[in-house]
Amino acid sequence: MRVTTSSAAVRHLLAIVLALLLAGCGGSIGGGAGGGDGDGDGDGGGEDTASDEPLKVGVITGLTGAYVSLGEEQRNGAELAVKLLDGKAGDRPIEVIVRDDQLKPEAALREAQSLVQEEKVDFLTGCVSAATTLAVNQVAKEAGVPYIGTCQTEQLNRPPHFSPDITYHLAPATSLNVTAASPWICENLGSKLFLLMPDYAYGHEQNAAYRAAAGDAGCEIVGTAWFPLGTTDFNPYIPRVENSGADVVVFGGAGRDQVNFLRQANQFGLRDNLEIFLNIEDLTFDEELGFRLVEGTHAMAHFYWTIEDQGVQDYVEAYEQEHGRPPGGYSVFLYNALNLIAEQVAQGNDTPEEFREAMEGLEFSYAQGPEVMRECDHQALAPVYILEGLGADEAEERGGSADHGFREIIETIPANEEYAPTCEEVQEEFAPATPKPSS
Amino acid sequence: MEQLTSQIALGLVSGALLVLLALGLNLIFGMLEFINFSHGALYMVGAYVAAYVLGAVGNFWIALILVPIIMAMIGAALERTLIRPMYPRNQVDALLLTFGLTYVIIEGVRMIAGSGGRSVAGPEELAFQVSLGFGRPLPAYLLFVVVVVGLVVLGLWLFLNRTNVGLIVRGGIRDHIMIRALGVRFDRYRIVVFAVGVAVAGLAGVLTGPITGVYPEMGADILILAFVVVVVGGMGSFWGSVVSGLLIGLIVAITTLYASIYAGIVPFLLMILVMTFRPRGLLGTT
Repeated sequence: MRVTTSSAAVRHLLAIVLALLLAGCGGSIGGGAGGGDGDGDGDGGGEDTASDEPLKVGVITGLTGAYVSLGEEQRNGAELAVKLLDGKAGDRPIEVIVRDDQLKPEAALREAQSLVQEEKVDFLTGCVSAATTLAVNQVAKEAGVPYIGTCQTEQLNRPPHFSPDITYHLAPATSLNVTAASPWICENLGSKLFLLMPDYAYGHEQNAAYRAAAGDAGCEIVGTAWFPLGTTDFNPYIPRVENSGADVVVFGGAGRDQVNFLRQANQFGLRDNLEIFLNIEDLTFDEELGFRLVEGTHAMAHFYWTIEDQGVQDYVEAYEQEHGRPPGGYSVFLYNALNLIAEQVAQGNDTPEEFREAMEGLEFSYAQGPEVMRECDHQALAPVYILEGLGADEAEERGGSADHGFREIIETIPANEEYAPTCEEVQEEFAPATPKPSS
Repeated sequence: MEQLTSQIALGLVSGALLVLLALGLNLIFGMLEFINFSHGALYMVGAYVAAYVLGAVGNFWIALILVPIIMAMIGAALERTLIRPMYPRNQVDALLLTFGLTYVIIEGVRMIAGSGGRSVAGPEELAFQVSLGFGRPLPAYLLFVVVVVGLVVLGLWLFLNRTNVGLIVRGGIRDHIMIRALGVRFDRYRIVVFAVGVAVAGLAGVLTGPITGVYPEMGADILILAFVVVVVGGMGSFWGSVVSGLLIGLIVAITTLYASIYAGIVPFLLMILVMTFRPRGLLGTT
């Protein structure tokens, strides 16, 4: 089995190089180039009168790539919000245009530009990755279109990205959740933490946040290991975690990374010796995990479908009717974003200036419990929930299902500005303790 | 030290799966001089077929036998319809065809099975850990995977060297008129080689399911690494793929231990080194 024609070898090599290049471009294969999924819930009627000109909201999210399940949740949340609003913000029909950023900043940039220039959207929202949100925000700033970020990041609310006229952040700043949850972790799970983090902005933000919070919370960080986004093989990480002397491994990855890690950790019996704490939880991950892998893990979340709150329960009910299962937390960000926009536009706050004035310090409650939009950095402050995964026996009595398991809310940490970076701190550019990776 | 030995063992396990994927790719390339870019997508299809077979019969062992057979038939059908017209054309055409095919397959699977992944249960019989006498105990399933890969490597080697298939196909690629004039039904041999390559990809899919679950993009993620393995080992070199697959698994595992932040790029650094100083690959001939 050898190639012996030397003349052909060079051509083969060129072809392979081409193949690798193509593979690089298509790394997270799927979706058409545009990925446009125009969804006109509004009827886009007469444009001559200002009052019934459609309110156009561009949603940019990851519909292909490692976080596809979160992206689809976000689309569902936005579409459901429009449906429950009867497709109208006051008199104006709402038109939601969903685009796929493929989890890549350059695609996010392209889609945002297209939404702003061709679709002439009034608002932008959506994101599942810290990498893409900054790209969308950049376009929004240049175009003067308000943008509501819906993924965890430390950088959106700070210079050079933050623009007080444009930028809003509904998802928590990464350190906000970490600071809120660290004391609970250290007190209840163990005092030696090992951080297993995705090697991109969000992972580095978590690493910095845990290292900053650990001391006050009574914890020690015994090590950090990095894995590339989209890792399928976590096996080589297991001995490193075990030999670190940690009591708790904090896992910072989401989506398929989380599923793969928990599946492989389970094969190695990692949970027999260590507590596993998930820095991010979403029902869509649990759907792939099932009872067996959810059981015994702890997680923090900004949402779980059992939260006792009227707004939450109304949303959960509507979502279940539409999709046959409860919503995950990432759908809620978009549901909230669409409601915020629609409500303000209905009240006549439809220019960026009026919108800003109304949003700053605004207290609101849609499907995530009571929140407040902090004035200085437009960071939404919301409660943080600690969840414990239950096994099948216990869970089934409480509405859990074999499809998505069940997590019990064992602690509610109320929204508190003290967990967020201070208004002075957010005036400075975010600088993680470790060097940022080049890609 | 104990940590290092654990890491080496785990590196060989990861490497074994890479070997399997690279071998199928390299078999088709080395014998047919055809770059099958859809290899990763076919591996994914194998994993999905395994998930469905498991769902239907509930027995991993049946899936392990059945899926490669089903995939071989899919491979044969593919060769007969889409691939065969590509043989006389240049390789870039073949590359573009199979690249497009990859997208079609992935989108097709999304439409049928949804874009979310699903988990695949491994065999109950192997849900325990084995102590190797060094390092930490390893899940029995992973060791089983290594054994299966070893058997497949041996089987393929015998297939290529103890039957005349290898000889005929290689001869036919050089001069297909002569080989036909000798009364050999060359097309049949070619279809067998392609089908075997696809069956090996399918087998890799079955074995991977219980480790990572199955999802539409699983082939795209790993195909790039499989190409790196083939290039590093030497294009068309059987043992080159085996050695380089294990080597890359090992290097990634050891990097994970000491400098995990670089674990994702070391295979590519190795490829650059090999391309620079030994362009024909570790065991490749010029």
